[in-house]
Amino acid sequence: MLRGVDLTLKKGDGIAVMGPSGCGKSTLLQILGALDRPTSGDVTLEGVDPFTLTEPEQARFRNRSVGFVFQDHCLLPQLTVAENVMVPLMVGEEDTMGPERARKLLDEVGLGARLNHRPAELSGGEKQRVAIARALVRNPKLLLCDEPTGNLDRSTAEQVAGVLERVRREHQTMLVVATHSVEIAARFPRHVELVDGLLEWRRG
Amino acid sequence: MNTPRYLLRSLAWHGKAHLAAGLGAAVATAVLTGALLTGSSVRRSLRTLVEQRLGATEYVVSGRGFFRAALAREFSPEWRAAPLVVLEGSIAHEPSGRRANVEIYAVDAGFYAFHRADAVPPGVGRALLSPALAAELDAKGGDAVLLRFEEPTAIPREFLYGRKEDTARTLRFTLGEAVSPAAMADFALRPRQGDVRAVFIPLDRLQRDLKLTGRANTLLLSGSGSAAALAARLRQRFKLEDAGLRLRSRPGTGEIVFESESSILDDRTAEAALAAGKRLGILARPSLVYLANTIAANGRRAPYSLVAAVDERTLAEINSDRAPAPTKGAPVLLNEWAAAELGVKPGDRVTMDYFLWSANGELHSGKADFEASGVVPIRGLAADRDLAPEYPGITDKTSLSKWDPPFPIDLKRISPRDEQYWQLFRTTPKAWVLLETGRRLWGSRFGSYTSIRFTHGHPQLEPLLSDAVDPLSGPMTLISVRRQSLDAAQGSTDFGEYFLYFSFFVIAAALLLMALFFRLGIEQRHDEAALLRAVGFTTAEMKRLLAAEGLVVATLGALSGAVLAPLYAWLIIHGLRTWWSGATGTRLLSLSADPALLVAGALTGLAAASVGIWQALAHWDAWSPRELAGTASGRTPARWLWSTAWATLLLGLAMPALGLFHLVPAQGAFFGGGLLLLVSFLLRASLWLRRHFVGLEAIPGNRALARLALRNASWRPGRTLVSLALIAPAAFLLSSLEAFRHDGGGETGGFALYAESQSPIILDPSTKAGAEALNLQGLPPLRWVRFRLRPGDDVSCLNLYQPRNPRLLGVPEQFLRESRFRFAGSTGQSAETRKNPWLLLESQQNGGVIPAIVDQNSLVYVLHKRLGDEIELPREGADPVRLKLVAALEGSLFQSEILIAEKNFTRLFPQIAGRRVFLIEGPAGAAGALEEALSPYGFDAQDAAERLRGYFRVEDTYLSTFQALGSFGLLLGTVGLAAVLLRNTLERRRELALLRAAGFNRDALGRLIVLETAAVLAAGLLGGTVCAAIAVAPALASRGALLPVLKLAALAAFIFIFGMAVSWLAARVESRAPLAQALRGE
Repeated sequence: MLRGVDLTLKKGDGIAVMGPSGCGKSTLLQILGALDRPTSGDVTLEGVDPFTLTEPEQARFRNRSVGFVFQDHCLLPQLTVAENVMVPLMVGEEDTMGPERARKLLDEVGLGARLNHRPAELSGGEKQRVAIARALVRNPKLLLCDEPTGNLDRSTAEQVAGVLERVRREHQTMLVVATHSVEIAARFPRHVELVDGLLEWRRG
Repeated sequence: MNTPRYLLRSLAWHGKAHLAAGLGAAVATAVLTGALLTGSSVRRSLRTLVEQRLGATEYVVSGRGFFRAALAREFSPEWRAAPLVVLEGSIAHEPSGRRANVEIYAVDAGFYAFHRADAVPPGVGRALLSPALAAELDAKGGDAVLLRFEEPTAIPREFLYGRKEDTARTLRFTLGEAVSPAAMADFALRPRQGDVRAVFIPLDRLQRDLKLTGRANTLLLSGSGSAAALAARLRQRFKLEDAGLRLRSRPGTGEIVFESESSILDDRTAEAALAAGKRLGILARPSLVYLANTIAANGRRAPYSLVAAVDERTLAEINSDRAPAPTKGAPVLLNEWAAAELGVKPGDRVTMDYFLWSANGELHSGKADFEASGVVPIRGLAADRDLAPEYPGITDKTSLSKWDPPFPIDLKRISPRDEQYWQLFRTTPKAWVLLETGRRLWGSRFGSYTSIRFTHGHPQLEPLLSDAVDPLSGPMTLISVRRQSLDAAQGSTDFGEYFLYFSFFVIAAALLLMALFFRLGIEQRHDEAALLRAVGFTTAEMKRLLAAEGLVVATLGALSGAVLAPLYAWLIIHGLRTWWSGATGTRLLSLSADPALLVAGALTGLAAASVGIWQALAHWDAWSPRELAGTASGRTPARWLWSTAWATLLLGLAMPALGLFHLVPAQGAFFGGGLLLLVSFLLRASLWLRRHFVGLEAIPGNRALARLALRNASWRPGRTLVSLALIAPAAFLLSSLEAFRHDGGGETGGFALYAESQSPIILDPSTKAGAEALNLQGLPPLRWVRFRLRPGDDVSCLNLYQPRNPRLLGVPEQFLRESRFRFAGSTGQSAETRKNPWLLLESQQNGGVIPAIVDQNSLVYVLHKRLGDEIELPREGADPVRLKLVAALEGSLFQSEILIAEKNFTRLFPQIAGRRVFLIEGPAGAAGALEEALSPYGFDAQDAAERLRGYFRVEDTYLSTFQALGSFGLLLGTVGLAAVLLRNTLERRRELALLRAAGFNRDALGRLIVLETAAVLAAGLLGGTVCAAIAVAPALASRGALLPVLKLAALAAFIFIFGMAVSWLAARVESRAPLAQALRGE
């Protein structure tokens, strides 16, 4: 599916990955996040190749260094907004500042007043903003977003994209967003397109 | 946010999904714990019956004969005691004409005081009945009843001088008012789960009528001392009269006579007396006096003359201190009267004819030749008319012509001279022979001495004799009846274990369903799993979270099950009292919920459910994110599955074949073969589901739908396999159980009737003389096989108590050669004993062990032994003997007893006279006439086939129970199938909506769903039934039976229809889903 993908990101980089459905955008993000293994090649994040780690070490790697935002947010319906954000804090190293950071992140994404609400009580955009806060609660180096606005209407999508951009700037997190929306991709400094498995640079 | 909070949230959110899994755990625990409670309740009920019926009784002393009732006072203060007389008999209720066999207890106020019962003994001329007996006879106070029983006699009936006819005694009573169990109305010494049939009559009335004033044959004892201390006290206080022995002084001679009221001294007692005399330096003269029908010499005859066998010294003294002249043959001294009558002088040949009573119940004549060694005058020792014991009907008659002996005499033979002798000399012996000669000719199993004369008394003689005669080595038996009965209440049948087996399938089905529902719940949460993995949970951490959830569900389910268990157990106990009472024979069972068992059951249920949870999570770590997020793609089955599938198939086919040729036991062939075949079937199904790719057709029609249905069934192979695993074993179980039913049949050995009498019948009814004496003329010709009986505990499945003292039959020699009945197996090595295992009863075994035969069902299910094993048989007043089980009968009439050769029986139990069990060839319609003619003996004749059906009813009841529970398990399996079906339908809603959008109408989709269900159901039912048919083949072949095809087809059809009904419901659920909503998002 992916052939000859060479990609280097620095701190604070934001890159949009575009391409038609089935071109491998999600696969690329899953490989970058060590959720899937490439048939050849390697991935290194701050000197660590997650595919040389054991499964528990990989899990800790993801917990510590990578944040995921999925197209359908994947909030746990049985937990509140605040609890959803704190799920990554249940494993890995103990982080005493974690709960406080979770609340701050929710404030940042505009949901500071909805801490005890359940996902069923939120709109699509609000759910996605909770997912973004959850992805950031461990201060990851890399934030991977797979069609984060795919299920949202235009204005909500703009809102979410704005949040992502702000997060990248303020937290200096490397951001990779897979999208098929040109408007969303335009908000990011770098822009690539996957064509026949090859990565082609469009901007940056 | 922490793990406990996450757990609670998840449990609450997914509560509905977990409810089904929890229910599965609850059902499994309830059934498992309920089975345990059932076993404990049955044991408790049996114990309660024992305690109620024994009252205060801890020990029983029973006598072979009658002893002093006053002996009861010799045990205080350590023990309380009450004397009574216990007899077996029958009762006839005059108003209704109903009859029953009963235990008769002759009691006084001491009996009720002993039990501390607030009751009064039966009044003068009154009898009291146990409540069940009163109900059976429809009797009430004031009704007249006749009690019949064998009249006790001291002289053994099978001794020549014992009475053989008219042995019954009848007493008439009026019934008192009804009494309750609290007044000891249900008193019983032998543990039994059925109703007590007891009659209580006044002790003094019975003593008076039987001329046994101040005598009893049973003592009840209760106290703080041990059995050993009790035995020591009994030995201390025992007197010779308690064993029917007496020392009598002969006036004018100074002699002391040691004799028995039975008229014969057994050899051990006689030898003990001789030793005592020797120890005290007293000369003892042992003797055996016998009646010679004829003494003949020189062509002359003297009829009905007593002959005395004495020791050499006495013989010499009789011969005036001269040793008898040497003779070539056995010497005989004749008194002068006899010598004159016969014209005998020393050296003449003298012949004696005499009667002997054979073990067959026939009178034989014996003959012995002697040589006259002297003639003695009738004086001194030779004039002793007191030497002969008292024989009622003989020695108490004033003339020979008035004799009424228990054997035929020809009064025409008696001459006036003979009468003259009788008038002058009465029972003075006419002839004297050596003691060893007499013992050889006239000794019997009852003894070979009639008395021992001590030439003078000694103050220590009686104490020494009392010490020498051990009351517990013959005359009496001491039984720790309470301890033995409570031990027996453990039961021969562990109902807890049986119901665990019966319920095994229900438990397994419930656990499978629990695991299935839990797994379905996990599969529903694949998004959650993907997220947790993405945020850094390891697979182990995710599994731990889910396992913790599962554990909580399992715990709640197990606790609920423990609460429900008493209800399930109550239902089973109710069943055992009612619908399944054929298996227990009693309504007297009640539930007792043991908290310890509830806890044990809950913990076991939790453990089993935890294993199910673990199994549901077992392969979870192999799922990739794609698998978690999407449908499960098939994995290549492991190679070992293929080889195991073949191996189990081959072994599964081999086991029944081995069973068919009796190379392995039929049960092992069935269980082993059946299990292997089922495993093979499921493995093959698993392989087919994972590997087989059903090609689809593009041609519209049912065939295309059917192929699509098969493809869909393999979409989730694990779920389909679980459905098969629920249905196929249930179908196997129900099919095979049906095949084991006894629909009639059984081996009666060609006999029409099985009969038993309360009193022994001495005479042989198949002889002309016997038939006449027993009033059987006019009946059609019958062939009798007669068995001696030692009453004891029933060893069939009809007895819930563990038999501690089994019922024993002595098999006549002739019957051993007839090779009747089928055998399930034997230890026979030779061609002869293999062909006819009955012959093994005559074989010599090592160590003095007695060979015995028992029915296969008794061997396996009651005695819990195998062929070749030994069991210990207690004996009253003697050391126990060991029996070796050398052969097992198959489905015979003898399921209630153990059989040994009659020869061994009479050696072990010499005091048991006559026969009480009969197999009769002839018209079954003769039963009524036989019962009427032999009613004095309490004769009860039963159709042999009906007796067999009674035993098979127990087996068939267990099968019905098994089937009922198996059906419940199958119902659970069908519920499981329904759940899988509904779940599949819901998960595939989008897919099915697409099919509708593509042009499939509702009817076609409905048929698709129904076909999927039909495929799984049909495969499961067919697979299970075919496996059953193969597995039961050996058992059917050995019974010459066929598989009940129609019944099985009806059962399968019922299950199929039920499953189809559920699938129709699922189809309706799908058809109502809005199309557009289902398609949204695509």
